[in-house]
Amino acid sequence: MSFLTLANLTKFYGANCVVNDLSLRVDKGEFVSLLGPSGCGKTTTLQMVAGFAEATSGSIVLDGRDITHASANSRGLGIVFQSYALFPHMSVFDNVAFGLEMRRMPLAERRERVDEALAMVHLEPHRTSYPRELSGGQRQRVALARALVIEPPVLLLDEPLSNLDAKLREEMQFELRHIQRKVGTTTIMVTHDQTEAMSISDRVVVMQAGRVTQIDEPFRLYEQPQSRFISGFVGKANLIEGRVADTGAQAIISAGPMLFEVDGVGLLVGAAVALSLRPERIRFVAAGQGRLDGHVSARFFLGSQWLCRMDTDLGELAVVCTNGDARVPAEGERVGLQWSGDAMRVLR
Amino acid sequence: MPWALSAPALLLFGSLLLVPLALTTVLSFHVFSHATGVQDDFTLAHYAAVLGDEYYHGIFWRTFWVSALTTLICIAIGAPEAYVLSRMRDPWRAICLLVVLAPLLVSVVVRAFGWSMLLGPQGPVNQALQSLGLGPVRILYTEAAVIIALVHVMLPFMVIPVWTSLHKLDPAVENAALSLSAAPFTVLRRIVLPQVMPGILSGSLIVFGLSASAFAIPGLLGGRRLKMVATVVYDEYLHELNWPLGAAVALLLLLANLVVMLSYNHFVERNYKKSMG
Repeated sequence: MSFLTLANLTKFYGANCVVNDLSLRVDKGEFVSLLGPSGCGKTTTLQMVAGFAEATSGSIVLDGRDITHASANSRGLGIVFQSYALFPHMSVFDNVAFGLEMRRMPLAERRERVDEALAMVHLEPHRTSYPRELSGGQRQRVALARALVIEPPVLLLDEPLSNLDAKLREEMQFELRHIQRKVGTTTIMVTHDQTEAMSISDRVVVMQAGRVTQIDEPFRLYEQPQSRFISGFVGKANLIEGRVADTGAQAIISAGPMLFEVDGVGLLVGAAVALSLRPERIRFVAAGQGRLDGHVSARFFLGSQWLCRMDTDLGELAVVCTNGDARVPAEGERVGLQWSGDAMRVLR
Repeated sequence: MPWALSAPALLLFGSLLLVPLALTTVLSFHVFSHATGVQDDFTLAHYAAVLGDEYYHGIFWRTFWVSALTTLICIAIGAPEAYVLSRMRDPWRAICLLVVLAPLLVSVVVRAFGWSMLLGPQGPVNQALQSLGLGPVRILYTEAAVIIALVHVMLPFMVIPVWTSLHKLDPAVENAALSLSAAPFTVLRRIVLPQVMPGILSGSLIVFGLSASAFAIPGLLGGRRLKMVATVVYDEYLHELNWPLGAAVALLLLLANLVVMLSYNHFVERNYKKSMG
């Protein structure tokens, strides 16, 4: 039995279906991300779990208790808002203590718990500061401490890192994951940032137009995307359009002048498919030695990597190679491209 | 350049406020006699007369408590009203806002006569009270009538600043409090109210200041016997023709108003400054 179960959750705003028949089971202690472009229904889903939006149909069961129609203030969930939503007129200490105060915890115990929470997010020196005196990252940590101090069964994070600058965001990602592991709180995070979702989640739920399109571990999601949308949304991918030429133990896909042998079940001969090929799985070899040759039409230095755009018979392909690993061909140079068969995924 | 831009405002301020104020101040020190009018000699007698006479003390005290009570009632009605308004959706919000602002669109004299008809001995209010077996009650020409009418006129001056500060509120903050198990009323008291205090403060200052110097409403609804400071000034100028005494009373009202408003501002700021920045 899973800890938090969303079953056939549906939300209409007027005639507009925002979340369509969403089902998800979350285990205790798990970190699950809802990933998707804006307007895909991920935030609405979170709001239904939090109790700020009423589900049109479907149910939410937390630890055996049906909370679908429970009021927001009776659910006891910890929530970190995108805007942090700190109480601007209260000190950091009072912000964090508020939830405990509402639970009528005695003052001495309350102090102890708040101090522990502030220590966890390294904010002890700021306990008497007011939110407006803190930096974005510090506010974020106050919000996290405030949500965790009540020891909620589930922690909900609504785009928690989107207001931070890139460097701080990366730092906070790891800190967030570290704290979540230590405390062991079941966590659902909403994000539109695929790197963020992949780097800190146990499982990622990809949503598109109100529907779940794939639920998987980050590695599998990246390696085995189930649709063109996911392969393009999660990381970068070259999509090679083709047709199924033959099926058998291995499917044969024809694309342009080439034939590829790939794993594929349930394909119909003649069906239009796409092959997804990650740019970092392609290697440079000498011209004529690889699967096909191409010209470097442009190359970009990204610091740790080089990104090359190649003109080939299959159209434009992006190739990424690690800086320092191999010689990077110059612009205009003709080179061979090689990759192993298992680097390609068939997408219907 | 900034000086040039503010020149029209400075000119207006100087010629229409500072000059008359200075003239009034000078006037209040002139000797007055009923036989010969305003003399060229100077005296402090008018101030001494006002400050030493219980008659004037009573009028100043009444003006103060009527204004203070008006302010309190405006807070009690206006703050929740602004909250409800801010939660409404259009078109209801626009309609309700118009209703709130309506008193400002009607002339103060017309409005005051309307109130005197409503509150008079034979008015609908008294008839209703009588049918309930509670009347007749004397409302017109008492402080109650003045306060009722003042609250009606002053309400927009409370609603608008509170509404403005409600606009600055992040709606997620209320949700955050709810998620921490606060009851809806607790959210209002502990989260919303402290954040709209600046609005309530500026609303109170406007309402108190305007009420303390109100003339038409106390004059028309308080009647001839129930005097407030502004009506006394009017009487001194136009009935007694003792302009210097009237000027002295007017300046003392200005002074008292300033003292009350500054100390209230100081008191509230001390309590909220730290948190509201």
